Order: sequence, then structure tokens, then C-alpha cells
Amino acid sequence: MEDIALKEMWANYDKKLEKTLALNHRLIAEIQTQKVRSVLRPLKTIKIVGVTAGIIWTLFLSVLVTFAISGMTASRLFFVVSVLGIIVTTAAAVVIYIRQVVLIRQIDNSENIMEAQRKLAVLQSSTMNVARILFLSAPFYTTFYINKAMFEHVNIGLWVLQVTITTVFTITAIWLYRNIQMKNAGERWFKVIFGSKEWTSVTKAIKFLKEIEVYEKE
Amino acid sequence: MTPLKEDNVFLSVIEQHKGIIYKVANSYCRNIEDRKDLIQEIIYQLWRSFGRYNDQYKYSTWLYRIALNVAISFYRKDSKRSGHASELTTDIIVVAEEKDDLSPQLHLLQRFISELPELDRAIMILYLEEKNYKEIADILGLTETNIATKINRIKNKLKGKFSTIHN
Repeated sequence: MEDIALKEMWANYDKKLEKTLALNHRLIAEIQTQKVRSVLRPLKTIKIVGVTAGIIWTLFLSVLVTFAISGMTASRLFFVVSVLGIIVTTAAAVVIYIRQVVLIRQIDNSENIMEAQRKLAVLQSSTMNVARILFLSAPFYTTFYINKAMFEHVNIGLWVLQVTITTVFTITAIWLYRNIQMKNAGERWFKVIFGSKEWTSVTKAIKFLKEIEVYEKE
Repeated sequence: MTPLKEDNVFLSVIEQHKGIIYKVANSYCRNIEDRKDLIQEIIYQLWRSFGRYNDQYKYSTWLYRIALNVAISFYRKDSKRSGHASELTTDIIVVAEEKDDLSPQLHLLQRFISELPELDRAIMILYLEEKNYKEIADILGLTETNIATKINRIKNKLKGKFSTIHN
């Protein structure tokens, strides 16, 4: 099979298409009048939903903390510190999402393919950073309910369980924060966490980013 | 440009290049329904971008960039459809004759192209469309040397597949 034969085959295909393809002008007009929209789920809409949910959750927790601080007692210390920890991590995730919405606006499909695809893949893979940060909030969910009564009526078994759970959550959260990175995308634990359908586009983007890097060097 | 004139210029650009849109969509989506969605998405994105068209590039370069970018993104995000396309009961680009009289060799070539990785596929389509190395490099954002190396490698891969079939 020579080069010329490949190109001839393609040219014949082209000639045939020239004769057989027809444009549906009515549908083009519908696109021009915005009656037909994108068939892809708009990335920006998903991010805006994430930002809105994050802000509502942060505001709700802030109200709780404000009430707790206004009548502050030693027994509420764990609650206040834990909720503040959750607020800080959620706010950090919201900031990343807002940055992503800004980046989405900068993606231009008329840019060259490597540039446009790299921007899109970086954007999709950065969603992983939101997961990393949110994992850091996990230990706080194991401490917010600690109260005065637990200190006054000490139950050794309960405390051993409490310390064990909080320690495991803390170590796991820090480990995940440090290890959820593109270089570990091939690891088994990574595939278990990000193997579900919701993460497919993100993991595909990470894989594609690696391909782009290799492609430019080859 | 007045809105009416812009609409007409866009229509004539699409009319002139409908073959390119169809071939790109066909290379990234072998399934008829997916292809219909992809063609709609390409034309939608072309229209969105048309107001910002930079006339330092040819219409075909602008069109290839958008069509290939949309096709590659569509291919990666195939599970994320919102289903808007189902509103359309007819195709934007209609194949007037349903009779399939393409040669078996061309069917094989289409199949082999659709089996290539996304970026190799884009290069091969542009090569077969008789684009020179500079144009391909402009569309892809790679150097001409890099493009030349890759075209040779992809051609060898395709020739290998053809010879396997024939032996």
C-alpha cells in the first residue's frame, strides 16, 4: 500500500461525499437563532452548581459556629474547632471551582489542538484537587460531637475507639492529600477511589495530559 | 458585518466545507447517532466562534481546528451527553444516497483510522486531505519536523495493517 494509493482512496471518498452530502439549512438556522444548544453537558454549569452548593454549606456552618462562639463554653471547643476546619477546607474547594469557571471561559476551540486540549485536560484534571482538599476535612467529622459529658463520665473503651477513629482518619486524609497526584493514576488504590463513572472524564483527562506531553517530545 | 450578512457568510462557509465536518465526525464516531450529535456540536461551536474568526487564517484552518478540537473532546467525554441532540429528528448534514458503494479498501482505511489514538487520527485526516506540513503543524500546534516524523510512523502503521489483512 503506497502513500499515493491512500491519498487516492481518500480523494475518491471526497468526490463521492461531494455528490451525496446535503446541508439542512433549517437546522443551521436553528443553531444560529440559539434554538439548538450544545449536546455536551456544559462544564461551566456543573462547576457553578458545585460553587453554589459549597457556598450554601459554608454559610450554614458559619451560622452554627457563630451561635456556638456567642455562647462559648469549654465543652463547645471541639465543635467550634471542627466546624472551622470544615469551613476552611470547603472554602478552599469553592475557590478552586471558581478558578475553574474562569478558566473555562478562556478555552477557545479555535486555538491549535495541542493548546486547547491541554487547557481542557488541565482543567478537568484539576477537579482532583477539590477531592484532595475535601479529604482533609474528613477528620473534623470525627471530632465535632465531642462534649463535656464525655470528659466527665470517662469511658475508656469509648475513648480508645474515638482516638483510633480520629487518628486513622487524620493519617488517611493527610496521606491521600499528599498522594492524590497524576503520577499515581496507575496505582490500584487510585483506581478504587476514582474508578466510578463520575470520575471517568477526569481520569481520561489525566491520561490524555500524559499523552500530550509524550506526543510533543516524540 | 450585519447579522443577516454574517448568517449568510456562515452558511456558505459550512456549505463549502460540509465534507470536512462529515469526514472528521465520521473518523471519531462510527456510530450513526453519535455522529449526528457530533456534527451538531461541531456546527454549534463553529457558529459560537464565528464572530471571533481571525482572518489571518484560512477558513479551512479555522474549521479544522474547531472540528478536530470538538471531536477529540467529544470522544473523551462520550458518557457526558445532556441529550439535547435528541430534539433533532433529522440530520444537519444529510447523506443523500444511502447506497453504500464505497470500496472495501476505503472501508478498511476508515476502520484503521478510527482505531488510531485521537491525535494521530487528527494528523492522518489532515495528511489525507492534502494539507502540507506547515498547515498541519499550525492546526496541531506542533513543529513541522515533529509532524513529518509522526506522519511516517502513522503511515507505516496503516500499511502494516493493510498488509496483515491481505496476507
